[in-house]
Amino acid sequence: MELLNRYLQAVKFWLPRAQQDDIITELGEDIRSQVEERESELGRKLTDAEMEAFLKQRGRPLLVAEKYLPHEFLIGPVLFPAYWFVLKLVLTCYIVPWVAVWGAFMMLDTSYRIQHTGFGIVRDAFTLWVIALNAFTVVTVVFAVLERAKDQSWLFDQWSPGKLPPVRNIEQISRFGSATELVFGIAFFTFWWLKILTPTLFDSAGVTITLAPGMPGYLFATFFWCFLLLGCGNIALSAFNLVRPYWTRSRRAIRASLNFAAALILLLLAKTHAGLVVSGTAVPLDKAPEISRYLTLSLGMAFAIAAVVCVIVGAVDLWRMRGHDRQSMRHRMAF
Amino acid sequence: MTPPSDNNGVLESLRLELRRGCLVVAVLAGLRTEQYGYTLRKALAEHGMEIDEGTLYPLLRRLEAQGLLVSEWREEDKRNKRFYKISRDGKAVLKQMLAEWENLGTSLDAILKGEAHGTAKSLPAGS
Repeated sequence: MELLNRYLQAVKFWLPRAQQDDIITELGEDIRSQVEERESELGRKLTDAEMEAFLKQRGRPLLVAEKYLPHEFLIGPVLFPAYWFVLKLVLTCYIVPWVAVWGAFMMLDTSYRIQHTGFGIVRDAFTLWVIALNAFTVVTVVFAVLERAKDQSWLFDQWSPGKLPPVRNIEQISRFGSATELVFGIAFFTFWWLKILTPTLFDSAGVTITLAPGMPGYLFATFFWCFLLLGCGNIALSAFNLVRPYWTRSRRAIRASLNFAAALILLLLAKTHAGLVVSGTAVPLDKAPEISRYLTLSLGMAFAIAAVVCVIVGAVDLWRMRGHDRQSMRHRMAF
Repeated sequence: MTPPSDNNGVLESLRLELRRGCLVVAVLAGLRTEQYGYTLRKALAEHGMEIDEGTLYPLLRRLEAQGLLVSEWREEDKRNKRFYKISRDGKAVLKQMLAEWENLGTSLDAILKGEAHGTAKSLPAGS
């Protein structure tokens, strides 16, 4: 019975302290009764091998003990789908863009690439790991707290079907969104037309920001006209969407093309290292070069981020184009 | 099409699910006479309701915590054994569960025989 005592001790280890002795006495009594019955059938004592086989059949001690433990969840089945959804959202909106921007810098910026190869890449991987871990921890802690609070009636009982959001039709275009896009599009077009032709981009309160000389004239002209054309295209699309507020395959294709073209131009622009120079009476002379450098770097990052956003929006349009007919039919059938 | 081996897994899982609810009724019924765990397990097995100790003892504890069983430690054959018996509340619950069991059986019989249309029609619209 030495083997049995060892088995019971292993089960006991995992049990709640207050119930350990009670459960082990009862479980031990049951197993001993089974062993005795088996021995009386055989007319002899069980061998060590038979005893071992018998105990193995009872199951691993942890699994035996687990059946006596209360079922506790960090995040239970009710909240798990929402938890999983938020985790995926964080991954899509936070970590994927981070990786995409990092990749864009590695491809486009030579000085960044030199700094971030070798040990630099390990440092970046560690940074990403810390970001991912922090995001995961924050989401998990929030949902673990909600799990503990979900039995509080105010949290889940205080709801009304009337307050649920209206049925969302992904083929419907928000008129407000189109109008906003149109206003911003026209503002950008005006700014581009009036300002970009002069090297001074900002001049107020003693601060002047100008384009650094150095970009060849033909290159500047190419970017100028490309952005102007893109601006015109976006304004036309927004105006059309405002009048006819529903997506069609062709309009999705146009928006995807505009976004991919914008991403390409932004990446090329980032690669040219278009510089900005800060000067003016409000800017200390000794600090001006450093501020200019940071501003130029920020501009490059903004280009890279904007390019990533354009690619994501374009990809979503392509993906929705693929399932356009199927999704429309499903939507009509569901609602 | 699901391969037969997967079907076996699904069947086993459904069978266990079906048995889980019946076990409570069987245990409560088995404890109308006082018994300790091992003899209860043997009695249930003799009637075709096999249950392993890892399932029975946690179930007995849960039913006792719910006030449906009472237990006491006693010495028998020079060994300490915990004897269980159904409580007054347990008897009332068993009675209700047996009635529910009968209703379920009747409903299921009717559904299997295709006579459940009347019940379905009597449900309010939209339910």
